[in-house]
Amino acid sequence: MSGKRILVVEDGITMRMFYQDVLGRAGFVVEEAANGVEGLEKALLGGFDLMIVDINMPKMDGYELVSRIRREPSLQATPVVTISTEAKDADATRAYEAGANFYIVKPADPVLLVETARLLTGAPV
Amino acid sequence: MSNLLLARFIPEARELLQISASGLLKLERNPSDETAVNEVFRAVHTIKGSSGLFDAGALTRLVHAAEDLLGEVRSDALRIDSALVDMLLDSLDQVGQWIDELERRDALPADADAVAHRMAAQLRRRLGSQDGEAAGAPADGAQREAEPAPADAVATLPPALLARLPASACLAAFRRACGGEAVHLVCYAPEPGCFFNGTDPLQAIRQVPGALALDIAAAEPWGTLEDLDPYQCNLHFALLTEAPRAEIELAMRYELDRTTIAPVRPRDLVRIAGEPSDGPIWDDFRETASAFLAAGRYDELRKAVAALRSVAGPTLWRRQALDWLDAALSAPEPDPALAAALVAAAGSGRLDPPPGGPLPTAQAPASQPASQAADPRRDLAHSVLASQHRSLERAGYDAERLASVGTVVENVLLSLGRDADRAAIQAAFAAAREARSVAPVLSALAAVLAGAPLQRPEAARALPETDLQEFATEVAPGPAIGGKEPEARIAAKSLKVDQAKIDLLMNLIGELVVSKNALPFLAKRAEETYASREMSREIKEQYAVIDRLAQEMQGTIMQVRMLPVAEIFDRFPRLVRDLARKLGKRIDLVLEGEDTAADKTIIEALGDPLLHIVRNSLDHGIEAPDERRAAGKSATARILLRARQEADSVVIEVQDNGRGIDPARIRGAAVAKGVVAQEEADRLSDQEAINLIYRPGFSTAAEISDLSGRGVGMDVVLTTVEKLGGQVSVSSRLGEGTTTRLALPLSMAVTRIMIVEAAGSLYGVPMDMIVETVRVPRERIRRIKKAETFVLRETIIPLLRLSRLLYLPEQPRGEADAAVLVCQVGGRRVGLIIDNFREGMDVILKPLEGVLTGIDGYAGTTLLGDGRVLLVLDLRELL
Repeated sequence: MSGKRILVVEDGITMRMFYQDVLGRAGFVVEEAANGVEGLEKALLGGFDLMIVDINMPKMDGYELVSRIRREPSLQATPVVTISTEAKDADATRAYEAGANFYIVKPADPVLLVETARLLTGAPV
Repeated sequence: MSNLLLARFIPEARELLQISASGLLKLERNPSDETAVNEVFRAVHTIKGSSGLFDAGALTRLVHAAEDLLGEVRSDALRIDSALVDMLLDSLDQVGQWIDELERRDALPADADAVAHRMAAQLRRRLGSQDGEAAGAPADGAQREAEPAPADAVATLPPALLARLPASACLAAFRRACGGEAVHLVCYAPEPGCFFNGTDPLQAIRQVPGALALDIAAAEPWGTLEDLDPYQCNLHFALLTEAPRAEIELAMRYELDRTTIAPVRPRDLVRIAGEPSDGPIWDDFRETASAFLAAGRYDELRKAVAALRSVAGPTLWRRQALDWLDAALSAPEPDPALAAALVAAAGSGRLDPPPGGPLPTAQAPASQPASQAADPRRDLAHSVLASQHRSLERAGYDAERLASVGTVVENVLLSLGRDADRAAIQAAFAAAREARSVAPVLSALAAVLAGAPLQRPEAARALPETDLQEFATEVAPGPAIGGKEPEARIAAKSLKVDQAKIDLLMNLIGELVVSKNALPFLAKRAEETYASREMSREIKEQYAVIDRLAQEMQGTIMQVRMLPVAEIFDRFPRLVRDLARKLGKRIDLVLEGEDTAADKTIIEALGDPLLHIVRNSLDHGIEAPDERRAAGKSATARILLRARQEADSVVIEVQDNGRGIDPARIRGAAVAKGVVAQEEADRLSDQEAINLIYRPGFSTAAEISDLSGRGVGMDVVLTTVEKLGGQVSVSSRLGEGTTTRLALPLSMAVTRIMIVEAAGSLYGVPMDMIVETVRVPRERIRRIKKAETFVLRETIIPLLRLSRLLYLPEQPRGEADAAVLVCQVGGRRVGLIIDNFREGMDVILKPLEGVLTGIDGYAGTTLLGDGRVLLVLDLRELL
């Protein structure tokens, strides 16, 4: 049980349940936000070791959210993984340019997802 | 994945489909509605994303095609029109059906792939072909052929399917594919009922020329022997063929919609199995082969392969890799990436995914030494660090970016337990901040990336240098890694409960409400039989408490069962649109009060009557645009669907501004159809004439259209609504429009009845049928021939004796007054002579069961407080 805290920002209920399930089972504490605005609000409350951000969301999309996170002094050092159904290079590049640390294509393999979360939060194997 | 996850996905998908459909309708009305485009796009996108978690590739693919199309609309590359909306709505309907199927059977139907392929192709035809549309069929075919190895079709290939084909056939196919010749996988899912229309599916697939291997498998798992239906075709065929696509299509031309044809890439065919082996001979081979490969000296490479093949044991894994390599090299111009991957495989004893697509890696023998087995964690760490390197390199010095990169790199090293590297990296970051340059971090990162444990295995280095960018995108698909599927666990915040459970709870509470009625009887007995007034009082006090609790429980469960009318209203925009298009009418549908809630039973039963009224309105009420203009109205008609709560009922109105109902026409039609006699028709007021539409067998449409049903008219609406305890009324003004008003009880779980005595027994009569109760002096009962009547406030009311209706012996009564129950049945008033009135009560009606179900005249039974069964009459059936 790592107890590391992850904020998942994703508009799909099923996807949120998937993260909650896969990451929760691996010992992470998972909190959810249903769109970019809510994500930013929760993130600002602080205390997350990692954020997993969906790209296509209502109100504020993932690109926008990531670049806002990077402009917030309290969140600059928080690792951010963006996740999207688009496998195109251009999308990944855009996410990196916005300030993401890693880009995953949906549907994410559960094992890889957990491994990525462990690596990015510094959690032991 | 798991059932819980699927259970979550199904309602989500349905809601999103609904959002998409209504958004598309908005969009059709106003193509520049940006909010609507975004809404639809996002909904479809989310379905696509979530569906990827399940084994529903066909669904994902179809949704993906729709999403791409919507993406074009969003970026203004494509203009939305009605045809496009039709296509998208059809696709969403299909997805909706699949969702139903997923809910029922956890799987898509066998033909899903074929259907998805066809519909997706149709959608994609609109993509970027705005002006090429007119090119016609030949161009169309060519375009399909030329589609760059349709990413879709390749993705359809279930790897498991290929894995079932014999390795020798795969190798033969591989040899051909490497030589640049097309190899196709034909998947054919015959219709389950195909035996009945003379199709022999095996014969059909055998018509395809150039077969290399045929696999026949059960489409669904075989059930138990008892459930097995031998007349249903439960087979799925997969054929690997060297025939060109055109020939396959020709051979399968009658079953094309149930067939998918996908080109097979050479790398999809590679399958290596065998025993592990080791030795210097393999190392030597790897070295020399890599050198030949790098220099493009294929002839020498071929010789080296042949030499080693002749000495290595044929059962070895590495030797088999050589067979594939030999096949790959047999092409005049071998694919260097493929050859490199196979050289590496033979050299290292395992298969690495080449760039551009994953190879099936799972075949590597399990007994491989640990140091050589693929380590997803190490590769992942490498990807993550490479990504940090790349993004820093691109961004240049940027304190903000450096912060998160620093966290990530440190965490990765921490997670891997590489403390020494961590210290070095920390120093590099400090130096970078000081110098305001990323150079120190970049070189430290490069060193870490090149460092021993993180380095990719030697064999992989023979691969062409992969752009760092690719690491990130390659990571996700990785289907072969791990394979453990976690079961879902929900953090329950709101509960989703099966309707049946609510219904059960509801019934139990109903029983409780009824059985508490026994307490007043008990109190009475305590007082009368046991002469204990005190006990009687205590029982009554307890009764008051239980009564209150029971009422509260009942109220609460009612709330749970309440649904908004939006449940039914939401179907109408689509329906009205489709019908209006079919009829060439223009209609603006307005919905009001969708939040009004009513019991689920009411809501569910309301759908059909409402549908009928709206169809009537569209079909008969609304005029064609020309006719409307001629009448000085706007060409677009308006239908208003409005719901609101009025006291204990929910009122739903359907209002149109069409031509209205012509009482003269109704009279004429009613006489012509023999519904009423001419004299009667002449006597009717206009409103009464309009009410004739409720008579069975009445339909004013000169010809029966396919919209408003055949022969069933408003009488069906009336019956349904009355069965629910509601009322229907129609008001109309000629030339201005018609309003149909339905009033229904908010809930129907509890029925209010009045207990009456007849022929010495007790019966219940639903209160909503009773207009009033009167005592009529005997002398005021008049006989007209055999029938009895009496006059109530200047209206003649026919009288019937309940005991006679029930075929019970009449007991002569000497009272001066007759007790008369005045009831409203089917729009007419009738007086029922009974023996006596008793109290009213709330009951839960139970339908008659068993052999009693066939008996007419009874709505059901209920329990009285003292345990007796009370029969509740259905006056409509009785009269």
